[in-house]
Amino acid sequence: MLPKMAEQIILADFDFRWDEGKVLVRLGSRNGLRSAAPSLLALLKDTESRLPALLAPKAAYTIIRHEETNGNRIFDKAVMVALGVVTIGPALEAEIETAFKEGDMLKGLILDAFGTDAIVQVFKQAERRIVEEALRRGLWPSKRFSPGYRGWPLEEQKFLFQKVDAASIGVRLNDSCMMIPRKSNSFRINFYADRSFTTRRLPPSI
Amino acid sequence: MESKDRLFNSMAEAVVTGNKEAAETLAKRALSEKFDPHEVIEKGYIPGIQKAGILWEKGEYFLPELISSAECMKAVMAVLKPALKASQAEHFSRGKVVIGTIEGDIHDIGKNLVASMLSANGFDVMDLGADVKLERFIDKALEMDADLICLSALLTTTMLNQRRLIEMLKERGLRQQFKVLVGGAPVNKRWASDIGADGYGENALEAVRLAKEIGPKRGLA
Repeated sequence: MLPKMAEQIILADFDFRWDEGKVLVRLGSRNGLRSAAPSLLALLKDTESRLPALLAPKAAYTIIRHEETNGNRIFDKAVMVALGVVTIGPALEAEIETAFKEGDMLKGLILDAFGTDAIVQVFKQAERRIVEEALRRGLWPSKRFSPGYRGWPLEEQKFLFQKVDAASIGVRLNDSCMMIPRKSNSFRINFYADRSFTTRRLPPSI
Repeated sequence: MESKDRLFNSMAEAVVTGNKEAAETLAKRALSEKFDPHEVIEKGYIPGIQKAGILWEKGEYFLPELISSAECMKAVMAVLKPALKASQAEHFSRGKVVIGTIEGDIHDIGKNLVASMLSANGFDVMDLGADVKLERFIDKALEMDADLICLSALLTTTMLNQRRLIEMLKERGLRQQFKVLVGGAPVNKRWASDIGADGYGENALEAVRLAKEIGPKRGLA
């Protein structure tokens, strides 16, 4: 019999705010909108207007007890751990691919930069809710970490995907532990009983 | 002669500023005035894409501007191709390149940029896409008698396949037949040297520079 999965929360209500200057910085601009040619700005505006039809943001996360982790030392001292996956869905990615296939490199790059911005926004909004959840439980949330970074091997994606039913939001892993759709991200936030264990900045009033 | 030089300067300027329409119009004018298409590319347009590259490296241009210049080059080549054929200079090429993101890896933006810049700089580029089986790189390189195989990888797990491909070339006695360039976020010069690659391109322009240096068995290096 398979072990019972902890309850999973799915979020689908996300707001996007676009900052074209920031998108240009993602494309390598040093001073955002100030140096952009009018034709490029027009292209940015046009792309932005098409985004609502291309984005299907979703997040799935679960909160498990330390005993339910795989014992990796990155979970040390945590009482509980939130594990999650976020995505903006496959449509934007398909559009990027089409643009590149058709040789429209610029369009592909701009779509990709917006996509990166979008996944970061989804990530941050999901994170905010999890942080609130930790605090509600009287626990102190760590910063957000992803497999492949800061001593958490990429292969740990497999464990994370065992605990989070990412398929329910349309995300899967390939053999190299990469997420498909590509504009997806996975993470953990440790919940500590002792505030001194976290390096996350929290308002002093808490 | 002076007007020819002026025309070449205008061509370069059109590419530098990413003005595709002007670049195409000038190419058509050069053809109507019976200029050697080969010379037009070498003296008119190539200096333009090279200057755009320098501006990008200096940080004065950013990616969309560099890409606009590369797209100008593509448009110009489309205009000049029939004339190149007619002048039997159809094989205007700095070399033939097979490029792709290596097996297991699905990231391809960086690889697309390299492919685009190689193409804009006069290479014949066969882009195999992402998550490309190692055998396919070799089969395609043999099929098109390529000079270079360019391998991209974004992860430490997938970069290992760059080594594997070089081993496969050795096993098949093909290592001397192709130069192998590697690139990608986790890759560096040391890795390239460790696995016996012929070079490492830190960015798209570095890859072009390297390809010009080490690539062609024939052509216009």
